[in-house]
Amino acid sequence: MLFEDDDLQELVKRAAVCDPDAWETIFRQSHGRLFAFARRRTSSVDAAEDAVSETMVRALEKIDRYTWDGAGFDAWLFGILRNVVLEGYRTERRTRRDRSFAFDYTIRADGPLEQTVAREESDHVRSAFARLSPDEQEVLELRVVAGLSSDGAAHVLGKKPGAVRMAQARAIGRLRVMMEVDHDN
Amino acid sequence: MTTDDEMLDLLGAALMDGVPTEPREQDLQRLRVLAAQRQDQTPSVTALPSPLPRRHLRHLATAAAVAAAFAGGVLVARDQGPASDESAGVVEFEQEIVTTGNGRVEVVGRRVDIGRIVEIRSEAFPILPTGEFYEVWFLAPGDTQSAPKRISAGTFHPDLAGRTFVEMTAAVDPNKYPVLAITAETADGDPAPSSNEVMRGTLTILD
Repeated sequence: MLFEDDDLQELVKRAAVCDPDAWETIFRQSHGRLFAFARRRTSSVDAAEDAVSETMVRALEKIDRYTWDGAGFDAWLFGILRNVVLEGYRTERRTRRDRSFAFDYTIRADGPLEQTVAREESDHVRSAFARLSPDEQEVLELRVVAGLSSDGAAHVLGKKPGAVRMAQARAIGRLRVMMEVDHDN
Repeated sequence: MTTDDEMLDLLGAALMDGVPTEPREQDLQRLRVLAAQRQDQTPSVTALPSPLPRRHLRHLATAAAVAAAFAGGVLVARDQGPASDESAGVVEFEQEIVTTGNGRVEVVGRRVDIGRIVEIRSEAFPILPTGEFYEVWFLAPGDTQSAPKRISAGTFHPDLAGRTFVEMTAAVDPNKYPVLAITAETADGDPAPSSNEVMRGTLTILD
């Protein structure tokens, strides 16, 4: 979850009356996860930042239509982001057919040693993850990057929560197999 | 053997590794300004002030209704409050373009703080079957079907009376993308522009 429930309702109430401080808080707290999701689906860091920024503007424009439901506010934000990314993807489709993500190490802020160690660990996981299908990747990202519940992920994907739970379980199983194959090699 | 939860923790750490946590300052300020603008307006708020001459205002209710029908689009519905010339932005183009069916389309583009606002007004676009829609494109020189150089500004459809009055925000510089085209799109899930182009015109950029 991007926010704790107790704080979230109050924050959204303030956002609904367009309190700039509330929107800044939402933007700051959700930026990292929104960016991580967008970055894997856009061609550059700037494009990902643009997508996140556009998401926040659209959220502001639509906040009066937001209603509380089981999916939650963060699922609503990720649903908007997903649409923004898909619209951007349309214009790049002819030149970028592969949606897999090449990690951009230039955005790391650690020192050289930490970068090397973290890179090796992360590379192992990301290497296996990259070989999952786009659908499997997305359903796992909504869980671990967006932090959404099955209900939230189902809202974003337009599927039933039970189907999302099954898809997540299958994707985790496939990820485990990929990592074991990598390890054995 | 790692449990599912451990796998998810591992994956989350890998995917979030190196991600910048703070938004860009200009994005943050833009959002604050837009929120403040909406806060200052009436409950039927809009993100942007209206620069339209009075003759256009009668269309705005239609525009709002059309905008509300868009799912995930980039339309900005505006209220019928008084126009504010101070914040109307700079008009970059204002002209008529003829459709393939010889209908007339009025297009106006303005540069404002957050990007470009494009207004399209016409009664020439046929009502499409349910699920189909029109899409607005800005084209760069050299755009072709096989090598498109274009940016989508959003989608729309006419109201039930066959009238179109829409307003879109677009992050497009018409100096670099000087051709405006509209295609009719089917609900086939294909995000590529269709070959069914119903309007195309070169924009005359005003000084």
